[in-house]
Amino acid sequence: MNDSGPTAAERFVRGILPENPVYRQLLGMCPTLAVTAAVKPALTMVAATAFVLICANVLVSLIRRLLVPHLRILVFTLTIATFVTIADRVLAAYLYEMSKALGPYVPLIIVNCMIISRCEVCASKQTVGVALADAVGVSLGFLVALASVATVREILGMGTWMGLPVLPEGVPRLVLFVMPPGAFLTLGLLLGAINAWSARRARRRASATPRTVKEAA
Amino acid sequence: MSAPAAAESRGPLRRAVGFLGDAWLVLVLGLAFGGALAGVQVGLADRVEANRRAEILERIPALVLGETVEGLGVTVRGEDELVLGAGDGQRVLTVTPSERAAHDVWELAAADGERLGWVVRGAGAGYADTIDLLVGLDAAAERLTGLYVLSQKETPALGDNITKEPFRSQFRGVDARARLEAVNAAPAPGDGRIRAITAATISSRSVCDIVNRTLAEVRPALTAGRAPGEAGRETREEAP
Repeated sequence: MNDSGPTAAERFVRGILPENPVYRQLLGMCPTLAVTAAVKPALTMVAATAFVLICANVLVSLIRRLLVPHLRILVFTLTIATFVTIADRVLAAYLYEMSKALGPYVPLIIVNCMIISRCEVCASKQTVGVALADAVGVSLGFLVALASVATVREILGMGTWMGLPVLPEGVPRLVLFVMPPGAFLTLGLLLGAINAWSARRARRRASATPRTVKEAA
Repeated sequence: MSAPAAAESRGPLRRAVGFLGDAWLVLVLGLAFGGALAGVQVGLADRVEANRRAEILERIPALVLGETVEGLGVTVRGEDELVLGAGDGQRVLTVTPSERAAHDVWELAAADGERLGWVVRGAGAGYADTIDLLVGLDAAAERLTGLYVLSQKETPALGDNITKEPFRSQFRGVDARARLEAVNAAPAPGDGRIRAITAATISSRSVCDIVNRTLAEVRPALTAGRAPGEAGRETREEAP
């Protein structure tokens, strides 16, 4: 098996912003929309997903030379389901209220395409170190996405952040933002803002490049 | 000859060996993961059950006494005492757990021993997974006083609405001796029919079936020993 590909540092950095699972690849939409009405459940979901992603990536990388091509997806699913069940039980034991609040969304991590895609794209092809760096980078990217959506929704909808009041009493609360339509609105607005920022950055780069070439000449 | 054709041409024993050669990793991982999950379950089951027991005890007063105590803080004191509210207005209740007809049952009583009602735990198949719920009954076990879903994995935003107050509140005050039925149209008040959640008829029916089955099994034990006729009509049928 060929272990070549991006380095651990490249994988780590790409996962955070350039290949952010939510804002760039539009993966993990279910938790992004469903558990971001407040920051605390969003962070718990990120922690559970990161645990599963890191464990699955490391394990799949360790057994990558034993994988039979037509059974690899089965092995990925089996691995992910096991770690999701462990995360679900640990939450029920130590964070019972949060486990109840997250409801079926923790078991639904099993079908989060973000995790299976990392197993397929990176862990099944590269070394453990690279797979670990990739999982940590993507988890941080997922954290950035969920925390940003949840922050906007909780502040606008309830006037709080992590349960602490941040808006003065007189400022009206836009309850729509903590309801399901608010999740779509917030994600759409943030996606639009990030795309506009990326496009502006790309235009600046494009206009700066010829000048540099001319100066060099 | 292509690989599948070659496999077909081999005998059944050699084919089985070939499949095992392909799938040995899946089998080994399955066994290892199964063992790991069993270990996690054994290690955490007591803690999860203790969390659930605390949740049940905290829910019992509101399930039996209704909105009058909704919002009042409940403190679990010792094994069987619940303290409602705080300060001068606080009220002490006692809870006696028991098992009737293979169901967990809690009897709620005032500090002077007067029985206030019962809470019965029932479970059954939902649309996606098992639904585990609590049913509140009055002291005579003749009227439902509340319903609370302890755990469920129904479809998010559809079936999981069985946990929400608009659906649960329909069970309050319903005759515990009549068979409940989930219907899609708005039922007349008090006729024992429950309006099903739109696009989640199976989840709604499942809850009604679990309540029907649980009460059919437990009510005779709760009303046993009372004077003839006092137990009321026993019209509830076993759910199919």
